[in-house]
Amino acid sequence: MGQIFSPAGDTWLRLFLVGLASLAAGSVVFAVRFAHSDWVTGARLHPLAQPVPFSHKHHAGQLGIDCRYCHTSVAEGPRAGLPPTHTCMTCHSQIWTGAPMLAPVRASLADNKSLDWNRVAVLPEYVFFRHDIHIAKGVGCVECHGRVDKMPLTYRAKALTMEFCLDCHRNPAPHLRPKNQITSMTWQPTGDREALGHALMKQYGIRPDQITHCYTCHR
Amino acid sequence: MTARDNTPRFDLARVRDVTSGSKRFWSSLEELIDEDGFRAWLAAEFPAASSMFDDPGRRQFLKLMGASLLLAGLGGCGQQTNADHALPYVNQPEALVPGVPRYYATAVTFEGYAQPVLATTYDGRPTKLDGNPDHPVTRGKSDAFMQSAIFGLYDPERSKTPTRQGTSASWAAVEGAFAALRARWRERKGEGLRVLTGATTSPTLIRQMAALAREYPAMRWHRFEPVGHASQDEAMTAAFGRAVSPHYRLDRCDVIVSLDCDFLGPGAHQVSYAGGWAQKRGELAPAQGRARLHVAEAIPGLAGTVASTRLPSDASRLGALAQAIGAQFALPGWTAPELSGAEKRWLGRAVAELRAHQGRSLLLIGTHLDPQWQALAPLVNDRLKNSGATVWYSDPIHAPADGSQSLTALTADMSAGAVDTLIVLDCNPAYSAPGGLDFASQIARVPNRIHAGLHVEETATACEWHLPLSHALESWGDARAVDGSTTIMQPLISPLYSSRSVHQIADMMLGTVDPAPDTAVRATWQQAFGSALGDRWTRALHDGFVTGTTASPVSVTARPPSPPQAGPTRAQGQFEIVFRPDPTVWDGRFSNIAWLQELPKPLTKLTWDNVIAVSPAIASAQKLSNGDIAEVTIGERRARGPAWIVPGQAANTIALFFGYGRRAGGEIARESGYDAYSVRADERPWETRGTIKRIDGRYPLATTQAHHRMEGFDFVREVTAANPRTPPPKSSETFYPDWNKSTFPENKPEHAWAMAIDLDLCIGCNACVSACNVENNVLVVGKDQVSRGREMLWLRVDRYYTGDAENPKSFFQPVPCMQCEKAPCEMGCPVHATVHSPEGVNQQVYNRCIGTRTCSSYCPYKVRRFNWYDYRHFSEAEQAAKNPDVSVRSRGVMEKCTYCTQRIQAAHVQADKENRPLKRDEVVTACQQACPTKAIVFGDLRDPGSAVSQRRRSGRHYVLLEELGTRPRTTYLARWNDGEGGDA
Repeated sequence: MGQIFSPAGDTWLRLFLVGLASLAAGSVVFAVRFAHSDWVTGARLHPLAQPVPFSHKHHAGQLGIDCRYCHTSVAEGPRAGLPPTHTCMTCHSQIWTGAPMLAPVRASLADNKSLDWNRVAVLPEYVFFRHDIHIAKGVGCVECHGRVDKMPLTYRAKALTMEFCLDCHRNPAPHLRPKNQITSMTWQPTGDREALGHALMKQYGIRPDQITHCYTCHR
Repeated sequence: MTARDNTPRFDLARVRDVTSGSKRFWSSLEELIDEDGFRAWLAAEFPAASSMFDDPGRRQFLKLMGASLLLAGLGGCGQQTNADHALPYVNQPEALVPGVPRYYATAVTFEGYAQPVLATTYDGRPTKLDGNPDHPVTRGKSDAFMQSAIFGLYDPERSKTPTRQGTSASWAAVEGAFAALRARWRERKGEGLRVLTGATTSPTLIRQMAALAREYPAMRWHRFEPVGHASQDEAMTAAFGRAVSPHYRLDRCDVIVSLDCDFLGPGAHQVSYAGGWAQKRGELAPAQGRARLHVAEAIPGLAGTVASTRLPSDASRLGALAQAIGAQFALPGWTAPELSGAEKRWLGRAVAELRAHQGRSLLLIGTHLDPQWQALAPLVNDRLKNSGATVWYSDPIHAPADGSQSLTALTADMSAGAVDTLIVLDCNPAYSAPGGLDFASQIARVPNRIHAGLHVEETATACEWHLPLSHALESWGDARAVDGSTTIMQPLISPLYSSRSVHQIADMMLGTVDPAPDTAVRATWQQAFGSALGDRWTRALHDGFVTGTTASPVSVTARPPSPPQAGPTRAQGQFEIVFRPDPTVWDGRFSNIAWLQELPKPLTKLTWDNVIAVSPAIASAQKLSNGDIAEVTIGERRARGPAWIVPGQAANTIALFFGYGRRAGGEIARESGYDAYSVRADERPWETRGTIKRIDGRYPLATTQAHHRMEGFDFVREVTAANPRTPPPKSSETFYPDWNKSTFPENKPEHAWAMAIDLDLCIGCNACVSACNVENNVLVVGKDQVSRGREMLWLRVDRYYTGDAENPKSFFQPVPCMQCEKAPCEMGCPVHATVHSPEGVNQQVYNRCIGTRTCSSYCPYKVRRFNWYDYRHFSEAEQAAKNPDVSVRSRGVMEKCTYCTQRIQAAHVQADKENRPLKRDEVVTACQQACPTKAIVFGDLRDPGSAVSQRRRSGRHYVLLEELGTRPRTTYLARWNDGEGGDA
């Protein structure tokens, strides 16, 4: 009986096995990377279409309107709140009154019908996130929402994954700031951020071991 | 899918021959008769995987296995929701914070009485009702009816537009019709105009009816309540010469003797009386002469289950007992009847204790008994110096009606052709009138018929016009609570449909065009408040009641009742038949609320149906078993329904329950049961004589009494005055890991949540279960699923008996999740979907759960519930009823009691925002909040002063299934036995 395999057979077999192993490893790496990809998490993608091309860059960045002027309930309740049409009209009944861009806002007021925005930061429905407690404990807007003041159209700046949340819940110190800087987009700590963070954790009474269990966010 | 008949076939006729061991607990008659056979049946009927198909062949089984393997994992695929849209207000109400609940005081009504509530609303949607904590009647407590009123509001089958002959019409057309009718009424000075309502306490409705009577002097206002207080009114008039409302101060009673008066049972007074009784009962230990209760009753009620001594007694024998009491108090003409040995023993003890505690005792005689017996109680209480101490009388709280204003008088006039216009407001006599009256056919003789109600119910279909009524939570109104204090009811939401309130419709009758929702109520209180209207109106809305409106005592003296007349005799072969409202759907007014249908009835644990309840003796004689179809014959009339043997029911008594056999009023209402009104007589509406016989055939019933059974012993425990402590805890050997050492090595959590349930105070009223269901979005699964053991209730109330079937002692035991420190379920879960929190709560994480159900089979307490199907088929209205702080669980996940973790989290967030520690007993669970007797307390074990820590130090403290070493956080206090078996 002749030889079935040529002398190169061993090499092919080795190559095949190596290939198989790298494919398996590659698939795992791909799956993990894919789950973290912007395509899945929706972060840093193109801004969503909105009824009015509202610019945070203009309002929050250039005009310097505080976040809480529109998102009024951010410190009081679970939801930051979107501004009612009346809030838009406090200024836009005076300026840009005829701008075609603002026609849907005027229509909303006239018809007493809500503007239908597309939500940018969406969490799954089994996550019970509260804005108020994060504000009370010194987590700035920019930590989750990114540099909103630089966004002409708003997009999701951070991947709002469970990993993202847990990173901070496990080690909040680097993400904390004094309460008077909550809405600041540009605040930078002077000195050691870690040391300041630990001081703030003490001051705010944050106990990381109490905020990592499931019922903190899921119920 | 229709419900299966899975009532076990045991020879229940043997039940009388069986006597149980003295201390053995049993939960159903089948178990009492044949324990081994019952276990075998249970294992076959409720294996962990109860089959979806009744008889899967081998091939079908393999196919299904293959299919489920292929489809495994698809169950986890997310559903698309439209949560990615955000619609802000155009003009946001000033005080509103999105997602933060706001609380408003108002009331819902029950048989005309206000049930004062504090309503939770989220973004303008009422989602939960609890008793108003500032109101003297509820003190923050509630009952099952109050809890479920929210589902009445969001019932998708409510009527949505006015209809004329079944086709929809506009309100303008309704006003046109009223205008035409008014001309007719004016011409005839109101002759032939009749208005029919239920019992009412509303000052505004009374004022409007008076205005109508001024305008049309010959009109007449009739009132009809199928259950109501008509017989009590009659008795009080006999006793005092005028109508009064009695008020009982049960918190002052050392001894209560009740003849068929279930003062702890469902009804307008339940919350108030249960609270008073429990306050006294909880104060003292038996040796100190604590509150004792002696009950003689025909059918087991809630008062009977907690009684020190209980005597099952046929209705006729209750009369004899009343007569004997009258004779003991030497009333002229009241001769002592012949009593049996047991009756003499019970009566001797009861009367001796009544006399020994003069001024601190109370004799209660049930409102279902003949008024001549009821009239005895005021006199005896006078003689015992109880009047003014434990009972006082006020002017009637509800608008009293005389004989000419009854339904009987109305029906007689209708058949005589004297009624020209009949307006039925929020009342359904075409269904609930006694069958003897034949109301449904008489109403056809009335030329103009208008019905206003929440549903297109039987009376609506018999009327030309049907007008949709607004729910109490959508409309302005007013009503008085049982203590007389008046609540001005404010709407919490604008009407969901094109509906009007009773007061708006009454204004339309008076000629107002398109009356505003609050005009009538404001006009009433304008008279009362005068120039201070603005302030006092706001104050009354804020407080939930108008200060100074509580009823005040009137000075009345009871007259000696005239000598009793003998009741009807019982012919050979006849039994005594009594009528009762259903414990969960009452007289039928709640029968379209799926959620009350699925609430297990306190003693029978039946859901979705009413039964013909028979005593064990009748079952033996008639060879009736549970679920057999029986026919009851009363005179010419017959009713057919499933028989159910009720342990402890008086030997010759058959009980029929109202609220079922509906012919209209919604899909859920129509689906089940038989109509007990059809065989009810107008004279003597509460008891009669008749026969029963077995009909071939079975009726499938869904009872939960055999579901979620635990394996073990000593589930409920008793202590006595002589032996007031439960056995000391054994050192628990366990192989379960210690969660707080292994999981959190360096961790010293600040709180350790725990619950303690006092079985001595639990009356099995279901308030906790109802509150839990509303708070935690627990879903209804339907009769078929219940019969397969798949009901979702997170908190079940187990009912056990000891003794023989003829007069057993009954026990209630609420069983929520035990939150074991060494939790077996956590060992079982392959994906860590159930894990411990640092504060000792056993967490169930729905988004991790893959539905293996291992945890449930590991759970010795059987408190875990699995979503076999997607039960979330909500209409838009039902969706609005959900608590937004709790997930609505999808198919394929396990769920269970969480100790209301959303409330724990909310309290933590509030405290953390204020940078303070949690206050003592700051967190209150929904069940604890509802419990009218304060049987349930919840709190922090680390705080030695917390209510739960105090209870844990009690000598009556014990742990359920302690031998398993699971170290539960939910524990119990044993019941005091101060009856004949005990040594008090």
